[in-house]
Amino acid sequence: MELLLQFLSNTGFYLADYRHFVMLAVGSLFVYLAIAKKYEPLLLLPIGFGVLIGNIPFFKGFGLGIYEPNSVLHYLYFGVTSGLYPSIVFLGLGAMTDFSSLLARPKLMLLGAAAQTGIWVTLLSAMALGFMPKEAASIAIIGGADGPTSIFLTAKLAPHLIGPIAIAAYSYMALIPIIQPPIMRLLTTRKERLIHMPEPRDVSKKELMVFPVVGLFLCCFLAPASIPLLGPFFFGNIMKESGVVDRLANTARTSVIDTATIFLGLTVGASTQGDVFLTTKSVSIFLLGAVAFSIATASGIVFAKIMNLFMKEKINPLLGAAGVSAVPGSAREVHLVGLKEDPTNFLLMHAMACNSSGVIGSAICAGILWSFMM
Amino acid sequence: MSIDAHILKPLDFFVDFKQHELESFAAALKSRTVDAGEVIIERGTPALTFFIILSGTYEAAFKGDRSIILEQIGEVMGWSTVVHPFHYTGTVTAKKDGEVLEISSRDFFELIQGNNALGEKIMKKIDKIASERRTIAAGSQ
Repeated sequence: MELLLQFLSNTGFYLADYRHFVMLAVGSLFVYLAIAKKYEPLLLLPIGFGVLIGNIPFFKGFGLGIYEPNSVLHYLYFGVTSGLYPSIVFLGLGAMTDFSSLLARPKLMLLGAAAQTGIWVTLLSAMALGFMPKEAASIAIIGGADGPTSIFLTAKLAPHLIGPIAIAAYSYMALIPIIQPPIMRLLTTRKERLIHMPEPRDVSKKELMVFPVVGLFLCCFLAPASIPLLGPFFFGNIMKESGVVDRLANTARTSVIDTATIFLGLTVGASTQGDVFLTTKSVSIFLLGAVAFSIATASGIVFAKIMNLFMKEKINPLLGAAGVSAVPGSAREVHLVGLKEDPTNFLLMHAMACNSSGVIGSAICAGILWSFMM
Repeated sequence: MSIDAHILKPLDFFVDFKQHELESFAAALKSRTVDAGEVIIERGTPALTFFIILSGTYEAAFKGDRSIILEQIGEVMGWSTVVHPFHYTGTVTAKKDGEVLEISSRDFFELIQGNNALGEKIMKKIDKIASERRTIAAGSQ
């Protein structure tokens, strides 16, 4: 009888409290949305299943939980806390990104920079709300709308917040079609939305090959702490553009990035243990994340309007919304909002320029924040 | 199964594509055989795959019992994979055995990310088709 009671007291049923059930319901919802609704399955399935794994009740000290040293999950989680997975994801992103539209019209790079305003405004807001500076910086980077960058910076500055920040960052990336279009319409007039952009010039192969090297120097001399993200990113890009290692470039943009995404999603999901995730801090992080992302979208648009005050050849201000680094989701939304006003106005290629500069911009911001806060 | 670029060259949709563009697009496409009676697109479900007809006859049925027959080689189905509303607006059923080329929305947007100019070219073509199909679908209401 005693053995039976001991066995029962070691089961998950006995150890569970309401937080486990709340998180198991959240994980199940993610898995359901991924499979039944096919909603962002590449993100939601690994994260959702990770949430389920991380929230099965277990007795502490047996080396099972993600936060317990020597557990298998802890070793896998090392890829998150060390910044390894985000670096690998950036390698793959570099190998799949085309910078031709950015090089054809370099002034659009400014919109990618302007959209990072959301990060700095949120940093100040989070600090005003009582978050410690390192926590505030980790929350603010959500405004970059880049999951791997958010995870990278949070792992360095506030690892205890990785779960909520990662979930918030990926949620807002998935919610781009809902969040961005109303802001775009609110901040632009119909006349502005109808502005056509001139056809971009052809960019030579040589320019595309030189860019990763020049970009690496410029960005990493400015913010050396962004090397772990931008180093692999530009390396991936030169593999793509040089054309001499097609096999490696192809592996980087398929198998390599997919492998990193699997373990990143699974372990980030598992890191959302109810006792560390279900806090008022998490709610604040979600709210501030929404503010950061909205301000980022708005600042890109407003900056484009300011540029138009001084430029002879006007820019469609919708492009500013693509300055966040959610590639290619925000570029696609800009394109679709433009098309809605005028079915002959194709903004996609121009929006991709802002979008890819947003990726670089948010990685630089992460580097600057990391070096400032250490 | 991946496909060769030469399969795309004679298709209307790709008439103004350069060889390297055809190769990039072909690398992202997969071919699939379809059996008569098979429903390959269901109205109202999330649009996750875009199709190009290689052979066979397909009926696209829209709301209000309006339908069109698609049997021309190179005709496309599932345009809302890449433009609003991102869910299928009609149900497509194969009337005869056939073969289609397919590309998922994820692969399509990765293609745009990797080759902006090609992405825009394809988007323009799809948008034109979408306008025509929307007119057909709206005709039923």
